[in-house]
Amino acid sequence: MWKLTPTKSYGISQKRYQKKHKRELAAVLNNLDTLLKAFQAGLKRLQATTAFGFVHPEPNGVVSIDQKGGGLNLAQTRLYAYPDEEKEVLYLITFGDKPSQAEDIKSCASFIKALRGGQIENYDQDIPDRDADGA
Amino acid sequence: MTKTYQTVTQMVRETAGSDDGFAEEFEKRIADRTIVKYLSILRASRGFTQNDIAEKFGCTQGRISKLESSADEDLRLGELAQYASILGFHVHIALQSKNTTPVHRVKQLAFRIKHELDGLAGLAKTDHKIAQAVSLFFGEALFNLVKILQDSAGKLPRKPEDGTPYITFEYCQEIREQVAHQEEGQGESGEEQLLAIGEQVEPLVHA
Repeated sequence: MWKLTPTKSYGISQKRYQKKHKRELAAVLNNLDTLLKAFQAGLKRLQATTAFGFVHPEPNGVVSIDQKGGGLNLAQTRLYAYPDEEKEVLYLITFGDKPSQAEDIKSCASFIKALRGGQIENYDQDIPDRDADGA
Repeated sequence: MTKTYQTVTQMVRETAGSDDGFAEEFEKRIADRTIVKYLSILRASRGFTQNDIAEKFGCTQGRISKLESSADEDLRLGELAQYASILGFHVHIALQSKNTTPVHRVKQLAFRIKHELDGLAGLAKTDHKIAQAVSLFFGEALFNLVKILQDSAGKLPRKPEDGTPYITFEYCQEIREQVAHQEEGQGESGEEQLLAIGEQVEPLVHA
Protein backbone atom coordinates (compact mmCIF):
# COMPACT_ATOMS: atom_id res chain seq x y z
CA MET A 1 0.00 0.00 0.00
CA TRP A 2 1.69 3.20 -1.20
CA LYS A 3 1.96 6.09 1.22
CA LEU A 4 2.85 9.75 0.90
CA THR A 5 5.64 11.23 2.99
CA PRO A 6 6.04 14.99 2.59
CA THR A 7 9.26 16.68 3.65
CA LYS A 8 9.20 19.84 5.71
CA SER A 9 10.32 21.85 2.66
CA TYR A 10 7.41 20.42 0.73
CA GLY A 11 4.98 21.45 3.47
CA ILE A 12 6.31 25.01 3.43
CA SER A 13 6.13 25.29 -0.34
CA GLN A 14 2.59 23.85 -0.38
CA LYS A 15 1.51 26.58 2.06
CA ARG A 16 3.11 29.23 -0.14
CA TYR A 17 1.30 27.96 -3.23
CA GLN A 18 -1.96 27.74 -1.32
CA LYS A 19 -1.60 31.41 -0.52
CA LYS A 20 -0.56 32.71 -3.94
CA HIS A 21 -1.18 30.07 -6.63
CA LYS A 22 -4.21 28.11 -5.51
CA ARG A 23 -5.30 26.95 -8.97
CA GLU A 24 -1.84 25.66 -9.84
CA LEU A 25 -1.62 23.86 -6.48
CA ALA A 26 -5.00 22.19 -6.99
CA ALA A 27 -4.03 21.10 -10.51
CA VAL A 28 -0.72 19.60 -9.43
CA LEU A 29 -2.24 17.85 -6.40
CA ASN A 30 -4.96 16.39 -8.62
CA ASN A 31 -2.22 14.93 -10.85
CA LEU A 32 -0.38 13.69 -7.76
CA ASP A 33 -3.60 11.92 -6.73
CA THR A 34 -3.74 10.19 -10.14
CA LEU A 35 -0.10 9.14 -9.90
CA LEU A 36 -0.48 7.77 -6.36
CA LYS A 37 -3.56 5.77 -7.40
CA ALA A 38 -1.68 4.48 -10.44
CA PHE A 39 1.15 3.29 -8.18
CA GLN A 40 -1.46 1.62 -5.97
CA ALA A 41 -2.73 -0.14 -9.09
CA GLY A 42 0.77 -1.49 -9.75
CA LEU A 43 2.21 1.04 -12.23
CA LYS A 44 5.99 1.48 -12.17
CA ARG A 45 7.82 4.80 -12.20
CA LEU A 46 9.12 4.38 -15.74
CA GLN A 47 5.67 3.46 -17.04
CA ALA A 48 4.23 6.53 -15.34
CA THR A 49 6.65 8.86 -17.11
CA THR A 50 5.57 7.56 -20.52
CA ALA A 51 1.85 7.05 -19.81
CA PHE A 52 1.06 10.40 -18.16
CA GLY A 53 1.95 13.67 -19.85
CA PHE A 54 2.12 15.43 -16.49
CA VAL A 55 4.90 13.19 -15.08
CA HIS A 56 8.50 13.94 -16.07
CA PRO A 57 11.66 11.96 -15.31
CA GLU A 58 14.31 13.87 -13.35
CA PRO A 59 17.82 12.80 -12.25
CA ASN A 60 18.28 10.12 -9.54
CA GLY A 61 14.87 8.49 -10.00
CA VAL A 62 13.00 11.64 -9.01
CA VAL A 63 9.86 12.53 -10.95
CA SER A 64 8.26 15.92 -11.37
CA ILE A 65 4.52 16.36 -11.63
CA ASP A 66 3.20 19.42 -13.44
CA GLN A 67 -0.13 21.27 -13.64
CA LYS A 68 -1.28 19.93 -17.06
CA GLY A 69 -4.99 19.26 -17.37
CA GLY A 70 -5.81 21.66 -14.56
CA GLY A 71 -7.35 24.43 -16.65
CA LEU A 72 -6.40 27.39 -18.81
CA ASN A 73 -3.63 29.91 -18.20
CA LEU A 74 -1.94 28.13 -15.32
CA ALA A 75 1.65 29.02 -14.57
CA GLN A 76 4.16 26.24 -15.05
CA THR A 77 4.46 24.51 -11.69
CA ARG A 78 6.22 21.32 -10.67
CA LEU A 79 6.07 19.09 -7.64
CA TYR A 80 9.22 17.02 -7.19
CA ALA A 81 8.73 13.56 -5.72
CA TYR A 82 10.72 10.40 -5.25
CA PRO A 83 8.90 7.08 -5.55
CA ASP A 84 10.63 4.43 -3.43
CA GLU A 85 9.21 1.40 -5.23
CA GLU A 86 10.61 -1.11 -2.76
CA LYS A 87 9.08 0.50 0.35
CA GLU A 88 6.08 1.87 -1.57
CA VAL A 89 6.64 5.39 -0.28
CA LEU A 90 6.20 8.49 -2.42
CA TYR A 91 8.38 11.20 -0.87
CA LEU A 92 7.24 14.73 -1.68
CA ILE A 93 10.37 16.84 -1.86
CA THR A 94 9.41 20.34 -2.95
CA PHE A 95 7.20 22.52 -5.14
CA GLY A 96 8.56 24.97 -7.64
CA ASP A 97 8.10 27.01 -10.80
CA LYS A 98 10.23 27.59 -13.88
CA PRO A 99 12.64 30.14 -12.29
CA SER A 100 13.28 27.89 -9.29
CA GLN A 101 13.82 24.73 -11.40
CA ALA A 102 17.63 24.55 -11.03
CA GLU A 103 17.41 25.13 -7.29
CA ASP A 104 14.62 22.56 -6.93
CA ILE A 105 16.67 19.91 -8.72
CA LYS A 106 19.57 20.66 -6.35
CA SER A 107 17.20 20.14 -3.39
CA CYS A 108 16.15 16.81 -4.89
CA ALA A 109 19.79 15.74 -5.19
CA SER A 110 20.47 16.53 -1.54
CA PHE A 111 17.28 14.72 -0.53
CA ILE A 112 18.33 11.60 -2.44
CA LYS A 113 21.80 11.79 -0.89
CA ALA A 114 20.23 11.89 2.59
CA LEU A 115 17.84 9.06 1.72
CA ARG A 116 20.58 6.82 0.38
CA GLY A 117 22.84 7.69 3.31
CA GLY A 118 20.17 6.65 5.82
CA GLN A 119 19.87 10.24 7.09
CA ILE A 120 16.35 10.88 5.96
CA GLU A 121 14.85 11.39 9.42
CA ASN A 122 17.12 14.38 9.98
CA TYR A 123 16.99 15.61 6.39
CA ASP A 124 15.12 18.86 6.87
CA GLN A 125 15.07 19.36 10.63
CA ASP A 126 17.14 22.54 10.38
CA ILE A 127 14.75 24.26 7.98
CA PRO A 128 12.71 26.99 9.69
CA ASP A 129 8.97 26.30 9.98
CA ARG A 130 8.09 29.32 7.82
CA ASP A 131 9.59 30.70 4.62
CA ALA A 132 10.66 34.29 4.00
CA ASP A 133 7.07 35.22 3.00
CA GLY A 134 5.75 33.93 6.29
CA ALA A 135 3.90 31.08 4.57
CA MET B 1 9.70 13.76 8.57
CA THR B 2 7.67 10.95 10.03
CA LYS B 3 4.11 11.87 9.07
CA THR B 4 2.69 9.71 6.31
CA TYR B 5 -0.63 9.86 4.48
CA GLN B 6 -2.63 7.19 2.69
CA THR B 7 -4.20 9.57 0.15
CA VAL B 8 -3.66 13.04 -1.26
CA THR B 9 -7.05 14.19 0.04
CA GLN B 10 -6.09 13.07 3.55
CA MET B 11 -2.84 15.02 3.30
CA VAL B 12 -4.62 18.13 2.03
CA ARG B 13 -7.33 17.86 4.70
CA GLU B 14 -4.71 17.64 7.45
CA THR B 15 -2.27 20.24 6.16
CA ALA B 16 -4.21 22.90 4.26
CA GLY B 17 -6.25 24.24 7.17
CA SER B 18 -9.88 25.23 6.82
CA ASP B 19 -9.60 29.02 6.47
CA ASP B 20 -9.92 29.40 2.72
CA GLY B 21 -11.95 26.30 1.84
CA PHE B 22 -9.08 24.89 -0.25
CA ALA B 23 -9.31 21.39 1.25
CA GLU B 24 -13.09 21.17 0.68
CA GLU B 25 -12.80 22.39 -2.91
CA PHE B 26 -9.98 19.97 -3.55
CA GLU B 27 -11.91 16.99 -2.15
CA LYS B 28 -14.83 17.88 -4.42
CA ARG B 29 -12.50 18.14 -7.40
CA ILE B 30 -11.17 14.63 -6.74
CA ALA B 31 -14.65 13.20 -6.13
CA ASP B 32 -15.89 14.75 -9.40
CA ARG B 33 -13.19 12.94 -11.37
CA THR B 34 -13.40 9.37 -10.06
CA ILE B 35 -14.33 7.72 -13.38
CA VAL B 36 -12.07 9.69 -15.73
CA LYS B 37 -9.17 9.19 -13.33
CA TYR B 38 -9.86 5.48 -13.22
CA LEU B 39 -9.87 5.34 -17.02
CA SER B 40 -6.50 7.06 -17.30
CA ILE B 41 -4.98 4.77 -14.65
CA LEU B 42 -6.37 1.73 -16.44
CA ARG B 43 -4.91 3.01 -19.70
CA ALA B 44 -1.51 3.59 -18.12
CA SER B 45 -1.45 0.21 -16.39
CA ARG B 46 -2.23 -1.48 -19.72
CA GLY B 47 0.76 0.31 -21.28
CA PHE B 48 -1.27 2.56 -23.61
CA THR B 49 -0.39 6.19 -24.25
CA GLN B 50 -2.99 8.86 -25.01
CA ASN B 51 -1.80 8.69 -28.62
CA ASP B 52 -2.57 4.95 -28.78
CA ILE B 53 -6.11 5.56 -27.55
CA ALA B 54 -6.57 8.53 -29.89
CA GLU B 55 -5.54 6.42 -32.86
CA LYS B 56 -8.13 3.75 -32.02
CA PHE B 57 -10.72 6.39 -31.19
CA GLY B 58 -10.06 8.15 -34.47
CA CYS B 59 -9.42 11.50 -32.82
CA THR B 60 -6.52 13.66 -31.70
CA GLN B 61 -4.39 13.06 -28.61
CA GLY B 62 -5.58 16.43 -27.37
CA ARG B 63 -9.16 15.18 -27.25
CA ILE B 64 -8.14 12.17 -25.13
CA SER B 65 -6.15 14.49 -22.86
CA LYS B 66 -9.23 16.70 -22.50
CA LEU B 67 -11.43 13.69 -21.77
CA GLU B 68 -9.06 12.44 -19.07
CA SER B 69 -8.87 15.82 -17.39
CA SER B 70 -12.59 16.57 -17.55
CA ALA B 71 -15.10 15.97 -14.79
CA ASP B 72 -17.16 12.75 -14.74
CA GLU B 73 -20.34 14.68 -15.52
CA ASP B 74 -18.84 15.84 -18.84
CA LEU B 75 -18.08 12.27 -19.94
CA ARG B 76 -20.50 10.94 -22.54
CA LEU B 77 -21.70 7.37 -22.20
CA GLY B 78 -20.62 6.53 -25.76
CA GLU B 79 -17.09 7.82 -25.10
CA LEU B 80 -16.90 5.81 -21.89
CA ALA B 81 -18.00 2.62 -23.67
CA GLN B 82 -15.58 3.16 -26.56
CA TYR B 83 -12.66 3.99 -24.26
CA ALA B 84 -13.39 0.93 -22.11
CA SER B 85 -13.71 -1.29 -25.17
CA ILE B 86 -10.27 -0.19 -26.45
CA LEU B 87 -8.83 -1.25 -23.09
CA GLY B 88 -10.66 -4.60 -23.33
CA PHE B 89 -13.52 -3.85 -20.94
CA HIS B 90 -17.30 -3.81 -21.04
CA VAL B 91 -19.19 -1.09 -19.20
CA HIS B 92 -21.70 -2.22 -16.59
CA ILE B 93 -23.99 0.41 -15.15
CA ALA B 94 -25.50 -0.15 -11.75
CA LEU B 95 -28.12 2.13 -10.30
CA GLN B 96 -28.16 1.87 -6.56
CA SER B 97 -30.53 3.47 -4.11
CA LYS B 98 -28.91 6.16 -1.98
CA ASN B 99 -30.23 4.26 1.02
CA THR B 100 -28.47 1.01 0.13
CA THR B 101 -26.66 -0.38 3.15
CA PRO B 102 -23.39 -2.34 3.11
CA VAL B 103 -25.40 -5.47 3.97
CA HIS B 104 -27.60 -4.94 0.88
CA ARG B 105 -24.53 -4.46 -1.27
CA VAL B 106 -22.99 -7.71 -0.02
CA LYS B 107 -26.27 -9.51 -0.72
CA GLN B 108 -26.43 -8.09 -4.25
CA LEU B 109 -22.87 -9.26 -4.89
CA ALA B 110 -23.74 -12.69 -3.48
CA PHE B 111 -26.66 -12.97 -5.94
CA ARG B 112 -24.33 -11.92 -8.73
CA ILE B 113 -21.83 -14.59 -7.70
CA LYS B 114 -24.61 -17.20 -7.62
CA HIS B 115 -25.72 -16.15 -11.12
CA GLU B 116 -22.16 -16.52 -12.44
CA LEU B 117 -21.65 -19.87 -10.70
CA ASP B 118 -24.92 -21.16 -12.20
CA GLY B 119 -23.62 -20.02 -15.57
CA LEU B 120 -20.44 -22.02 -15.04
CA ALA B 121 -22.41 -25.10 -13.98
CA GLY B 122 -24.54 -24.68 -17.11
CA LEU B 123 -21.40 -24.82 -19.29
CA ALA B 124 -20.85 -28.42 -18.34
CA LYS B 125 -24.16 -29.76 -19.76
CA THR B 126 -23.25 -33.42 -20.28
CA ASP B 127 -19.51 -32.95 -20.62
CA HIS B 128 -17.89 -34.64 -17.63
CA LYS B 129 -14.47 -33.12 -18.26
CA ILE B 130 -15.93 -29.61 -17.96
CA ALA B 131 -18.01 -30.71 -14.97
CA GLN B 132 -14.84 -31.89 -13.24
CA ALA B 133 -12.99 -28.64 -14.00
CA VAL B 134 -15.94 -26.54 -12.80
CA SER B 135 -16.25 -28.57 -9.62
CA LEU B 136 -12.55 -27.98 -8.91
CA PHE B 137 -13.14 -24.26 -9.40
CA PHE B 138 -16.13 -24.40 -7.03
CA GLY B 139 -13.79 -25.86 -4.40
CA GLU B 140 -11.32 -23.02 -4.97
CA ALA B 141 -14.14 -20.47 -4.84
CA LEU B 142 -15.35 -21.83 -1.52
CA PHE B 143 -11.80 -21.72 -0.17
CA ASN B 144 -11.42 -18.12 -1.27
CA LEU B 145 -14.80 -17.02 0.08
CA VAL B 146 -14.02 -18.54 3.47
CA LYS B 147 -10.62 -16.84 3.38
CA ILE B 148 -12.28 -13.50 2.67
CA LEU B 149 -14.72 -14.02 5.56
CA GLN B 150 -11.88 -15.07 7.88
CA ASP B 151 -9.97 -11.94 6.95
CA SER B 152 -12.94 -9.59 7.50
CA ALA B 153 -13.96 -11.33 10.73
CA GLY B 154 -10.38 -10.90 11.94
CA LYS B 155 -10.88 -7.13 11.76
CA LEU B 156 -13.73 -7.26 14.30
CA PRO B 157 -12.91 -6.37 17.90
CA ARG B 158 -12.63 -9.26 20.34
CA LYS B 159 -15.27 -10.03 22.96
CA PRO B 160 -14.64 -7.76 25.96
CA GLU B 161 -15.34 -10.51 28.52
CA ASP B 162 -12.76 -13.07 27.43
CA GLY B 163 -10.93 -11.66 24.37
CA THR B 164 -12.14 -14.44 22.08
CA PRO B 165 -13.38 -13.72 18.54
CA TYR B 166 -17.12 -13.27 17.94
CA ILE B 167 -16.99 -15.66 15.00
CA THR B 168 -14.48 -17.99 13.40
CA PHE B 169 -14.59 -19.94 10.14
CA GLU B 170 -13.04 -23.34 9.59
CA TYR B 171 -12.67 -25.35 6.41
CA CYS B 172 -14.29 -28.78 6.42
CA GLN B 173 -11.90 -31.69 6.04
CA GLU B 174 -12.97 -32.33 2.43
CA ILE B 175 -12.11 -28.80 1.29
CA ARG B 176 -8.80 -28.87 3.15
CA GLU B 177 -7.88 -32.09 1.39
CA GLN B 178 -9.01 -30.79 -1.99
CA VAL B 179 -7.03 -27.57 -1.64
CA ALA B 180 -3.95 -29.42 -0.36
CA HIS B 181 -4.22 -31.78 -3.31
CA GLN B 182 -4.45 -28.85 -5.75
CA GLU B 183 -1.52 -27.08 -4.10
CA GLU B 184 0.61 -30.21 -4.52
CA GLY B 185 -0.39 -30.47 -8.15
CA GLN B 186 -0.07 -26.82 -9.12
CA GLY B 187 2.43 -25.43 -6.61
CA GLU B 188 0.04 -22.58 -5.83
CA SER B 189 -0.73 -21.30 -2.37
CA GLY B 190 -4.26 -20.36 -1.39
CA GLU B 191 -3.11 -16.73 -1.26
CA GLU B 192 -1.98 -16.87 -4.88
CA GLN B 193 -5.27 -18.41 -5.95
CA LEU B 194 -7.12 -15.67 -4.15
CA LEU B 195 -5.05 -13.06 -5.98
CA ALA B 196 -5.60 -14.79 -9.29
CA ILE B 197 -9.34 -14.54 -8.84
CA GLY B 198 -9.11 -11.00 -7.44
CA GLU B 199 -7.24 -9.86 -10.55
CA GLN B 200 -10.31 -10.53 -12.67
CA VAL B 201 -12.39 -8.13 -10.64
CA GLU B 202 -10.67 -4.79 -11.38
CA PRO B 203 -12.37 -2.79 -8.62
CA LEU B 204 -12.84 0.94 -9.04
CA VAL B 205 -10.04 2.92 -7.46
CA HIS B 206 -11.41 4.49 -4.33
CA ALA B 207 -10.64 8.08 -3.58
